[in-house]
Amino acid sequence: MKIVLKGGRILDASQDLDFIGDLIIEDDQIIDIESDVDCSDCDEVYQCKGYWVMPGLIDIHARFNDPGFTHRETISTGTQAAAAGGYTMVGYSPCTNPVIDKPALINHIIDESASPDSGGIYLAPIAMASIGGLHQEIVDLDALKQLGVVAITDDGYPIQDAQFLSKVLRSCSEWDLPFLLDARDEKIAGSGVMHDGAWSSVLGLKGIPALAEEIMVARAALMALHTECQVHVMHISTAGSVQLIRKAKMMGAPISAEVTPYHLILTEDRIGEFDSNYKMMPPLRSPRDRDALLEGLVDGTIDAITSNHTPYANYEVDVPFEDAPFGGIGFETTLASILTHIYRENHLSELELVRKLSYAPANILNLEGSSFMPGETPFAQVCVVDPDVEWTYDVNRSFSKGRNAPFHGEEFKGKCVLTFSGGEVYRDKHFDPTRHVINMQSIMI
Amino acid sequence: MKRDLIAIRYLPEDYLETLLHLTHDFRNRYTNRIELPSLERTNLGLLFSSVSRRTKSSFHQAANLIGCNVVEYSPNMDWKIRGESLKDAVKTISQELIDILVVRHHSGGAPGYASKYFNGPIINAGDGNHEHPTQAIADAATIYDYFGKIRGLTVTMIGDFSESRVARSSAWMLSKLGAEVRWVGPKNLMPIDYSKLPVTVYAHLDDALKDTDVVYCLRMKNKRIDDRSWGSLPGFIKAFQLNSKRMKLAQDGAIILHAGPVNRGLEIEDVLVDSENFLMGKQIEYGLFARSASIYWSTQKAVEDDVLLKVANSN
Repeated sequence: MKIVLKGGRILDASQDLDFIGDLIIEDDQIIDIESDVDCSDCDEVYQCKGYWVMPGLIDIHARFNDPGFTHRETISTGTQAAAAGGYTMVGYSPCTNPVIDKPALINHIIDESASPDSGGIYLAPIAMASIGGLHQEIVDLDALKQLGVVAITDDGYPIQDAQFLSKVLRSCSEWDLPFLLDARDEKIAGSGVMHDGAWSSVLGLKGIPALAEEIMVARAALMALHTECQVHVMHISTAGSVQLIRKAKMMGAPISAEVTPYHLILTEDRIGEFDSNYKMMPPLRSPRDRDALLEGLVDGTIDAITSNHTPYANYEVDVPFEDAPFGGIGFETTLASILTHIYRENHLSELELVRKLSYAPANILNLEGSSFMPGETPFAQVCVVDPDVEWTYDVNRSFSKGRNAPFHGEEFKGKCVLTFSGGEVYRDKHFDPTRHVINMQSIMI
Repeated sequence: MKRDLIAIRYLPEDYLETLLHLTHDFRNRYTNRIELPSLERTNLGLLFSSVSRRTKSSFHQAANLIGCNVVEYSPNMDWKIRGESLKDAVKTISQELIDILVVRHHSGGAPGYASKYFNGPIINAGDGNHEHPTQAIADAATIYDYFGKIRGLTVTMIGDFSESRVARSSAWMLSKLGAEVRWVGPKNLMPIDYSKLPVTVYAHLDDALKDTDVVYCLRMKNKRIDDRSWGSLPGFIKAFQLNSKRMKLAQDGAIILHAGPVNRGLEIEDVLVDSENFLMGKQIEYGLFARSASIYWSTQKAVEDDVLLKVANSN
């Protein structure tokens, strides 16, 4: 089976490629990229003129909620949403019930990832740092690594005890696993529900100070220096965190950071009259923080953009603000929102966008996925983008079970229209079917 | 369109003036034994999901004064125990012939949320640390009663602002009606960023009291007395207690307000509580009429009943 994606703009950050050409996939492997290939012996041709053809997006971590919370998302619904958003590989957050801390649970993820349920999307297993997320006993890193765990984290269960964290980081360094840090001092964050600032003062809501994040980023930066563990700070949200990461990198700390589209685009005032769709963790911050995040993204301080996909069922979100859970779904809107608000406003080039959404995440998780170099990836992973299509996001049509969507009703310009992953093809309704040509001759033979 | 009373913050000034004048009119009528307008056959629900010291009985009495039937939905009712969502509780109440619903809730924004699922007007009786609109109307009415105006007055509020819905509502009310509002208190009990609030924040009580017409002492909450991780009580008393000596810094004839209950000798010196300038009693009385006026206003009759408005405006 030979498929050609013809005449698109090839964007591959791993090789700094940006040219108009053809991508050839044969038997689920990328065979070649050429400027103008002869398609007479191809089975299928996708006319990609005007489209961008780039490696599939890679999400460092997202919540699928299986096991334990499948009323919010399942592997089937989550991977469909991921494919619709252009993702081909997703770090599987261990923030489930029970938390993913044992080989048996990792095997569950691996089995599910290989099953038809996952629609060809590769789920990269991530393990919780401690048994039960209780910060008492470090998980069996040797066994987990052998099974294919790509990273260790404290996602949803931020480690408060500095001594325990330093031991975790030392162990991660020993097993050569990156640590994904949930930077939150729970005492300082307290029972806060939004950014501690001008709007929390108006609404009378308890605030989560920027300090709750920054103190943990500073601590982790020092620990990365001392333990030589690769520390990746998840979803940073404050100007101070950007400065700290920048300084830590200058000091030679093995540290990286990511940001979500929500924190890059939205600010605290979006909560308006207690709209629980904008209740996030970390919270949406001030315009000053947002500007600093953008600056950090552009200058390379922030390496990657993640969806931080955190689904909740409608009945869990349809409650007064203070009673609502934190988080928003993001698979289907991350690329579109970044295209609309960051790329269109000339903050990132096309190739930089691919770097932040695919190549850097792959590097952080040591995944082979973000390249068109033949033989570089385990299977063909491609995201085809129509950068000009205008559309409106409607959460009620989402593949995800989650209904907490900060971008519900938002108008976007640009969208993933085709995703190739693990032998499966996702075709968006905005993809013009006449662009798909099946070579009848080759089928007859 | 139904008319909710959720937050003073976003009510237009003319609504606030109507509410203020209605409150006065109701009190004058009651004092002069003139009949109050009646909302006969109107069913008022009181949905109180968190503890209320006096507001609930004040609403009950306020409803009685204008002839409403009152149904109480208190925290020990089934909906709370069974973990029913606020959405379902409000939808259930809608089916019980309730025309107006008064909501107190531990969560800021809950009355606005409840309004999505209730056909009639919602009146906020205090939501989290957000607002307490009828208290603000009562405070404004008390000040108006004494000075005959609000515009141009200076109001200094003292104490614990971090968890005070009264301070927020009254600050919006008084500033929208033309007063200058000052806040002063210990740093740990002040909001971190007051740039979107209609107040000027002072570091020192003595500076804040200068030329003040109204001094508003906020109650020190019990939990602040039990958990003093915010600071020391003697330190607070020294820096922020309102006492007779400090009152001399304010304008001659300045009045003192307090939403009660008072901690004598803590936020305010004992002797000031018994002074004639201490108008908490008036606030309670006006609180009653402010609630009657709010209920009446929410039915939109205040606009339809032109005669009443004329009476109100002439006061």
